[in-house]
Amino acid sequence: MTAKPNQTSIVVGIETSCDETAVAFVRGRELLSDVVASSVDEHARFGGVVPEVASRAHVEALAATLASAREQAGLEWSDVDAIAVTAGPGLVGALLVGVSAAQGLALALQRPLYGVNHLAAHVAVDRLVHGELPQPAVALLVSGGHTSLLRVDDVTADVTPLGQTLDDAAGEAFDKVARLLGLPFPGGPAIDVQARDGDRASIDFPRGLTHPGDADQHRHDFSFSGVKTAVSRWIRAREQAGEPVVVADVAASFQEAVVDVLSAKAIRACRDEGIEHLIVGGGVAANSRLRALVEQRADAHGIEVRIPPPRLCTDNGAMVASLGAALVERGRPTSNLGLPADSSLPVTEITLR
Amino acid sequence: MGPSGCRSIDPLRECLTSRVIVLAIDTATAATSVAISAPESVVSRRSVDAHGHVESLAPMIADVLVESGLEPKDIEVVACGVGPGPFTGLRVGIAMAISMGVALDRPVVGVGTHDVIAHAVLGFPHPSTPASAVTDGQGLIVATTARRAETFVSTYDTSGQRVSGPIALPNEDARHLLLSGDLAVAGDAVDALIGDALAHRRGPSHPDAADLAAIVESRRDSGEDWPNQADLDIDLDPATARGDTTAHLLAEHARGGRVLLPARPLYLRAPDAVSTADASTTVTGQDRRS
Ligand SMILES: [Zn+2]
Repeated sequence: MTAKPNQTSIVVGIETSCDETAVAFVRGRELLSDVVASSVDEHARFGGVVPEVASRAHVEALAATLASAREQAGLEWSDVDAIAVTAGPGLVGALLVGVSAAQGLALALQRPLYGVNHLAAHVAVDRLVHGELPQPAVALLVSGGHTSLLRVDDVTADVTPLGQTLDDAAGEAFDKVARLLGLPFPGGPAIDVQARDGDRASIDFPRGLTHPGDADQHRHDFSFSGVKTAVSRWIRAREQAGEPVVVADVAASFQEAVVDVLSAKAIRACRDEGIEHLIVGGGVAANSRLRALVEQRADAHGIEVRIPPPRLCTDNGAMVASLGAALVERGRPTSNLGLPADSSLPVTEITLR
Repeated sequence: MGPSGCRSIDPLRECLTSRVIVLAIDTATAATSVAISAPESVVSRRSVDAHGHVESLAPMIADVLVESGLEPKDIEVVACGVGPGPFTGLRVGIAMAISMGVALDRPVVGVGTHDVIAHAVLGFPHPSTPASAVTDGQGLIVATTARRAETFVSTYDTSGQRVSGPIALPNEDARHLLLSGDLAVAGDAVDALIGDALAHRRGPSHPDAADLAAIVESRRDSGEDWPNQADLDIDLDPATARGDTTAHLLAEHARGGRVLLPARPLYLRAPDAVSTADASTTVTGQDRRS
């Protein structure tokens, strides 16, 4: 089944790759509704997402999330032109709930189905905010699961990985350091808030993979396990010395070490590639210091930055619907009704058949 | 039959077409089974592949619709097996049923998967397993794989009424139970637990969605209402007691003589509380959230 290329297609997007059950409706580049049910509170006590808890929560939230997204869009199900769903990467059990639900919609409504790449969707969501994506662009995607620099020549067909984290994702480092500091999960927002009252120059935490020797082999790659270990050692040393640990200062200094590397490498990737457009996405893109530093450094090099509002940076259905609408617009091939899920779908595969 | 089951405006035809059109799905075992039960025909499909649910299910539903000569909008009730069964596959069928029900604006009904297997043996004469030959006038134990050295077990009397379960038992206890009495046995755990024993008292290994549809039809005929969707809204804590609470809900329904359940999985087991933050063995970096 192929959808007729159309700039005002109504596309429903479903996202269940981690702990958010999310459904959204778009018409072309217009966001009509965006409903997110999160199980984050249920994972908080474990300091991270528990895959089986996430999968169970998706099934529980599914019916209500679908129904309220449709209601808020003010549409009938029969108005839907196509269905898009995150087919990977992500937690396999969690992905399967969304993929099955999307297949059910495609079957019931007799409409085409697009199984899409979650990372490409994080890039595509910006169409809903700032209009059609500039081509080519560099994308910095930072979250609890991924830290990637991508070259995006066409978000519906041509995405090339430039670099990625070699160990922890940036958001994961935030979670772990938050735990060290006795802050709640997820760590990103908690550290962001603490850091506002702290001195970001007070402690010089290491910047991973920024030594001159890394400029060749790991030029666009990241590493955050070192900074996490450094924070842990620093806290222990202070405690053993009987000195106070000022949480705000540790948070601010740690956050600075992470966003310094992220922003510097993103700008360098743009300059290396001769690209003047940078798109930032993923949950960590909601971090206020990252947004400020990226914009400041991009300005200095004449690079135009696009960062969607925080709500659209974290996982949501709008990003999936937006990519789905772009795929419809470009007349890209649809997925089969027996669309599988692929927990390690490479970023170069924008759709899964 | 329930009065609201009649939709025909022709009173003569009403009795013939009193049955509703049911789409039935079960993915609680290694089998993916679907059926469309229409007034004059039942079309069903089953394939067995423990990891194939997500790729098989939707095409199979499309197939049975075509063969039935029906459109999706003709479906009046969506029914799904709610397990117990290994969780990932089980959720595929339930999520499918839920989304089709939402999109078609039709009720979604759950039935315990052991009830479906038992129905093949005890419900009414079944083409492949005549009831009398299998049970010899006794009841039935349904035993399905729970993985992790456990088996999900239910017992039934000869009328097809569930007497106990479903519960999760250690394999050794389940094996002992299967061999200890005069009951017939069915379900996909039986082979692994007792080998060739009781070969003359064996029912099917996997559920058949045609039985699931038949249960829904017969419960409807006997006046049982569609499950109250508000039952889905009870406040649960999925991190700890969700499985137990679901089993409790099932027991409540059974006490009320009800077979039709809300479309929510019967886990019978709390989830492993190992998070992605400290479980690199269970979740790879690429598997984590983004
Ligand atoms: Zn994400």
